[in-house]
Amino acid sequence: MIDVQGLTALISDLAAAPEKLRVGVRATVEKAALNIKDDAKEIVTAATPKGYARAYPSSITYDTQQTATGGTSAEIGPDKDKRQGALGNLIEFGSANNAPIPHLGPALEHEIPNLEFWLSEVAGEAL
Amino acid sequence: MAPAGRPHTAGVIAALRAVGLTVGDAIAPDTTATQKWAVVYGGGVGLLTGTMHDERSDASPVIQVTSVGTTAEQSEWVADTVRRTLLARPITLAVANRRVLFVSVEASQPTRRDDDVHPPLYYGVGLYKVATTSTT
Repeated sequence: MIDVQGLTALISDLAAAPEKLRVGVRATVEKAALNIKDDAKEIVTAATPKGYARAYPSSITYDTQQTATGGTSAEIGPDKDKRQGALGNLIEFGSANNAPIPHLGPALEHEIPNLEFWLSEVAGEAL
Repeated sequence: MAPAGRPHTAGVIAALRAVGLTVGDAIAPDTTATQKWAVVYGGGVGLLTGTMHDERSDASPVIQVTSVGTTAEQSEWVADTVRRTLLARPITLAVANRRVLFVSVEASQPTRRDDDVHPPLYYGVGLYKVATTSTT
């Protein structure tokens, strides 16, 4: 006869894993979105020392949403309803004669390693 | 030694000039003799990855090419020529002392009219990721 112990606890842990994962992923994505927003603001502020787009950095915001499948999505960028928010495209990509000031793309790129690391930690802890 | 960004930018500029495009290096070129041109904006090396031997051997800078013309058609023609050149298979882009692994389109912006200049100009934007590795 085989005696298996601890199976109830294991089943209980496995049952709790999806919710732990959802909560952990949500917190991780929200933190990443905040970091990207702050980094983008910092980059663009440093690149426009003459302050011609002084109000623009404050227009950069982020928003997170829960998806239909239980995941989390984040949207980070200038809010066009805020002062100078409509300049986002022009500043990020430039124009015919104006050089770009990439700030949102690089901020996202900077955050990717952090996001990957913390998502793997969350996955490990959930199981 | 960590890879430098400049050889990647220089490689893109050289490749585009080699196919006959008028190309500016972070600034509009002399356009008195042409109605269409490209401006290349480089800088940075992107995320550095690599092997256990050298964890910073691979670079992937994102280089912006702004395609400009006095008409929308000219701007699009430049953008198409840039795309064809940089995405050519087999890879023709050369970066000094580096092996080019792949070139991909990271993002693009459609053609727009720039009314801040007179007469107005048309421009479109392409962001190209140039992934390279060390040859040593």
